Amino acid sequence: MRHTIRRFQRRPVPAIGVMLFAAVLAVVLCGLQKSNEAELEKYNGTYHTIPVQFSVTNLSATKATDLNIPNFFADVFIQEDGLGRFVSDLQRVCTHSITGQNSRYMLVGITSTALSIELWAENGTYIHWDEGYGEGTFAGNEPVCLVPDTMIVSNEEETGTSYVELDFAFWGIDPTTEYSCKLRVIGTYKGGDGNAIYCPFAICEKVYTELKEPLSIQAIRATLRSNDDLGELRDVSKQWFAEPNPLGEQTPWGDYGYTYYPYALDIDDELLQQAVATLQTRIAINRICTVLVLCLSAVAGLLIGFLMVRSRRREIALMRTMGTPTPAIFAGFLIEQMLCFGLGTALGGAYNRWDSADSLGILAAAFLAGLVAALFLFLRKNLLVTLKEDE
Amino acid sequence: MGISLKNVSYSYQGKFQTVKAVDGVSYDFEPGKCYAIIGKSGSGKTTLLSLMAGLDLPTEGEILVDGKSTKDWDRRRMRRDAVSVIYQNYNLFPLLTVQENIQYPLDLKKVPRKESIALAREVRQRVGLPASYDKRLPGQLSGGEQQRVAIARALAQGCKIILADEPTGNLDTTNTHNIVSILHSLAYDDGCTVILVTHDHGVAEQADAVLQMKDGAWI
Repeated sequence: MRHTIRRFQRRPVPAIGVMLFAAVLAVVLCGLQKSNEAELEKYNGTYHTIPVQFSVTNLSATKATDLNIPNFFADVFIQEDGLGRFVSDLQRVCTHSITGQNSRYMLVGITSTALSIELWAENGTYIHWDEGYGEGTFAGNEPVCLVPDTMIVSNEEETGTSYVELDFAFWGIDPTTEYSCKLRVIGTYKGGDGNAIYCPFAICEKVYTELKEPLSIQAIRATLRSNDDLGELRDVSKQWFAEPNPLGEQTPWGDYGYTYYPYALDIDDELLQQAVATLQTRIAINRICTVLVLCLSAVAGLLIGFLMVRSRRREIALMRTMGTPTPAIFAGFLIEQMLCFGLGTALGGAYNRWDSADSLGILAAAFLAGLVAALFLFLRKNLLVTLKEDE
Repeated sequence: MGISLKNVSYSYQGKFQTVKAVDGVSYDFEPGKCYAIIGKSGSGKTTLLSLMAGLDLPTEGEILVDGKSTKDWDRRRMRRDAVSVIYQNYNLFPLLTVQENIQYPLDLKKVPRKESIALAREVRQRVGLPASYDKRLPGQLSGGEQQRVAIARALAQGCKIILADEPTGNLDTTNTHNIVSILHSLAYDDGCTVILVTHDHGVAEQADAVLQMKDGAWI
């Protein structure tokens, strides 16, 4: 150690060179990591704030017209291993035509206490109720909705679920005119309770039963609870749905798949992908640069170690002829260079105010690895050969 | 402490063929005497010296240092405690001062600092260097002075076998004379076995025995 310090004092230039080089590497590496952390933060912020929606569509345009409303969907969404657990908001849009003669319907829904439902009519009429309050709010233009007092029935004590029965009719409309009424049912699914999915299909089914005519589902749309689950959602959905097929061809499974999985699940994360694509590229570039800096550090360790040992091979040979233990020679060189590199790295870290300084250890380790490799290469050389080379 | 060569051979793999640098050499070097090995370049002198210094092992035969084969010695210890080597090009540590160079082998032996400083001064005086040289670096000394430091370092090492490879090769006549005198005193006053490899017949003639090598063997 004493000799090492004296060597520094008496020939400071190489040591200062290594130190400055290490400082530059450290500044670059810290800068890269800091930038990477910032990009990651942006990425995470973006990734988790852009809502990703998925929709269920029918694979075949021709089949959509005679589509019935199967309980299949309800089953898929309610099951614990189904898609319900990924869902934050669930919307189903269905339309049907009514006339004055058939203007009285019974709509039935099963809801949880955390649920609120709005029924929207296309002409601006909507029905809204909050489960648990036992009261409804109705507003809108003609046609007027009339809701009897008995609209809400709860059998919570018996079944553990709330059961809401809504009976409404349209008044004051021309019985000969065909009105188009769009029912939009919006439910909020908080998750955790398998029964929390209300059953708009049941509503629709009821309507369908009374109308005795097919009801077309235009779409089932949902917003994911968390974008982190995107990959898992894709995997799980494969159990139930085919991949979307814009050409309207059969499913990849052929007839079998078409028979049993007639719907496609389309996860629309295009907006998300667009938003994060640039960030992903920047993060990737940063990571490549980081790896390059670390490789550069290892190569520098190798080169500096190689040149240092080469320029002092006579000293090394001399030390060995005088009986200096090889580990001591090894340690001497390592201490010398790691001191220089370590001080340089510390300078670089201090320049960056120790932001993102955790990567500096890796930098020093890469340098050390290169240095050790160079020392091994030289110290394995035959002493006699080395001495002969010198002379 | 003497050194004996028993039918020593040394071969190494050259680029195209195996080279036999030392070929069946035997000799007994006795303590308290000075020997000179002469021969042309490539005759195997330096290789033989390296084998005696324990830098490598003979491929055939054996070298006995103090009655013990170099194969049986812990060679690092042998180089530290039994055999000192002095080189033509001095081989001092360029960034250590004269005193630090002389102290180096003492540090290896973990001699206490005060003691090692005193011993270093003593041997420096013995080779005729003044105290003002203690703080100088080798680069600030002449060739003769550097060789004296190298000898002082060998003295400090305290080994009883001194091997010198062309110790006067880079020196003028006056310095050559001084260095040879010091080496002789090591043999005659300190009882060391001094073996010089040299091209200088003048130096060789002052030795107790002159051994000539050719193609790896004695002539």
